[in-house]
Amino acid sequence: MTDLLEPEAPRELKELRAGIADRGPAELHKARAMLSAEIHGERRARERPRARPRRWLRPALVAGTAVAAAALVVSLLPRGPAPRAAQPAALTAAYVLNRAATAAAATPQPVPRPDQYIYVSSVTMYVSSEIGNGQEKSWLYRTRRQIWQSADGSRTGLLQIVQQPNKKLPWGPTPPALSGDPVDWTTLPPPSCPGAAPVRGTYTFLASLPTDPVRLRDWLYRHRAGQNPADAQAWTDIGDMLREMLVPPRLAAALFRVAATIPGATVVRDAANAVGQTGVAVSRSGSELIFGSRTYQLIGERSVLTRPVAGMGPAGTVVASTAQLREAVVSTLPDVPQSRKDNGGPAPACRLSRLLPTSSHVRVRNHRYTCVTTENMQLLRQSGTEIHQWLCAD
Amino acid sequence: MKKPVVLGLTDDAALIERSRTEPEAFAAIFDRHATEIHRYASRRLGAALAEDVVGETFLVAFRRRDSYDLSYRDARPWLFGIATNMIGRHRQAEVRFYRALARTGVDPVIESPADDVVTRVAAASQRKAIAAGLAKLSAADRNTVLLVDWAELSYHEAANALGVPVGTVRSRLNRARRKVREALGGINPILSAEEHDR
Repeated sequence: MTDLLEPEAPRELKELRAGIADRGPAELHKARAMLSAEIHGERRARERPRARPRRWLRPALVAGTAVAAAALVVSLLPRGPAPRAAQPAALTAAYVLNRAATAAAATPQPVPRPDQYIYVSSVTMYVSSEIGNGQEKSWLYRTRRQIWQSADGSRTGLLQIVQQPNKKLPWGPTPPALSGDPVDWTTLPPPSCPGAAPVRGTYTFLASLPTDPVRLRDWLYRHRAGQNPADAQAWTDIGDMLREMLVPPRLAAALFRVAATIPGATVVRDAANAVGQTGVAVSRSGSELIFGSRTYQLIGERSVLTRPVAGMGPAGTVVASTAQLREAVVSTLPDVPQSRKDNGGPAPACRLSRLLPTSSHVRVRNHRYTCVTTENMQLLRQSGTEIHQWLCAD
Repeated sequence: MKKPVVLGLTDDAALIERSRTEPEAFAAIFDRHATEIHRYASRRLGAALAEDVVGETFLVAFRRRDSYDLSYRDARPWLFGIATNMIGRHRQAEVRFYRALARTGVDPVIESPADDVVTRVAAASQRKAIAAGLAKLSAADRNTVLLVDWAELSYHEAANALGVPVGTVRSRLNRARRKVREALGGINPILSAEEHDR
């Protein structure tokens, strides 16, 4: 009997509730409205970059009026909380990241030639710790940064840092006032040089990565850039690849889609970036990516303490905050003012950045450490620009 | 009940592809399939919950349209797959409705008399038995048998919708239909008599 192999559907099953009334698409108001809102939201997100075209500043102009230009950019940004878009009841990190992926994929980016530079301007705030006399004092140091990085990593790059007033941490001391010239120029040796930034930071390298999320995830987990647990390291590495970089749209989309698969992320509504723009953030172990709540474009990063830290503050204290203001492709480096030539400007290939290893401070993942007495700093272990171990010999 | 699949320039894949650059194009996917998805969800959950399911299904589909495999010209299996997941969120309600029907003969899913007067009030013992049978199925078996017997997907389409091999669809279908038949058999007077004879 064939029934044993392929039992026919019982007629009674096929007929159960078969008489239920149909509803045409126009009658499904609520469902239709949900989709319309979503389509409309995405349409607006797409039109945004077109309505306000990016103006690529000529590097020379940027160099001459760096502070003014940065201030102008900040004032152009919308202030205060953005109007809320229609959001589903349960906003998950995966949802936010997938929306961000769609937005990133739809945002056109200029494509640099290998001999060009990626220009990025940003505002940052990180922890600075001063160590000496048996104690550690921490506060938040703030900067405006402009960076020019060789697209293929074959050329020397440039970094301009403009110091902004320091900020006090809840449980920290009153930070020192700024002294001396707030503007600092640093040359960035090509990645091919010993001691230079890792090659994975170049545009050419990023453009070579798979843009299929499954393959990219595989690559990221096989090429983790640190010793943290796999998921934590992948999350960190994705943040590192997005920071101060022009990321090809399809790669950015894939990075967000991979991030959406990393367990342990949560959503933080109304997270502010370093220039006070609020958005929706995805957070993992206190490390957050912030997206525009309507545009779903990446507007900055933030780190908050997940537990109280002596000398810094209670859990929830913001200890890092950034805002990436502009990315562009430029053909030449700006002229460094003559008075700064000793600090930066065109440098012989492979000359180490002046910050390392003779500086009075080191940065370990953007946390800046300073020895009270400069000459007491000892670098114990370093690979590339990554500082692994150092001490202040009191 | 099955909709003719429109192939050619305006098939689902072409619309979805276009919606990647023109999001509005996705509205046509809704117009084309919302009724059918709603009908299916209604049979499992009732019209009110079904509208939520339809809304969520098309929202998720829209957000995932970038990853849609354009070699599938007909989006129904994809949409029914998403809808199946959304319906799964209301699994307890679904089972509760089957049990209520099995117990009382009144179908809570048929909301208004206008829907289906006869079937709502007619406490046919077969319907109670079918409902009892459906309530006992595993979620995977129920998803499979209802995609085939209610949504009228082919075995291959159901396999695509559920992301399982066709062989799995077959074995689930056999098991589910057998169980529903057994539930029916329990109230079949002849079979009941045979059982008493043992």
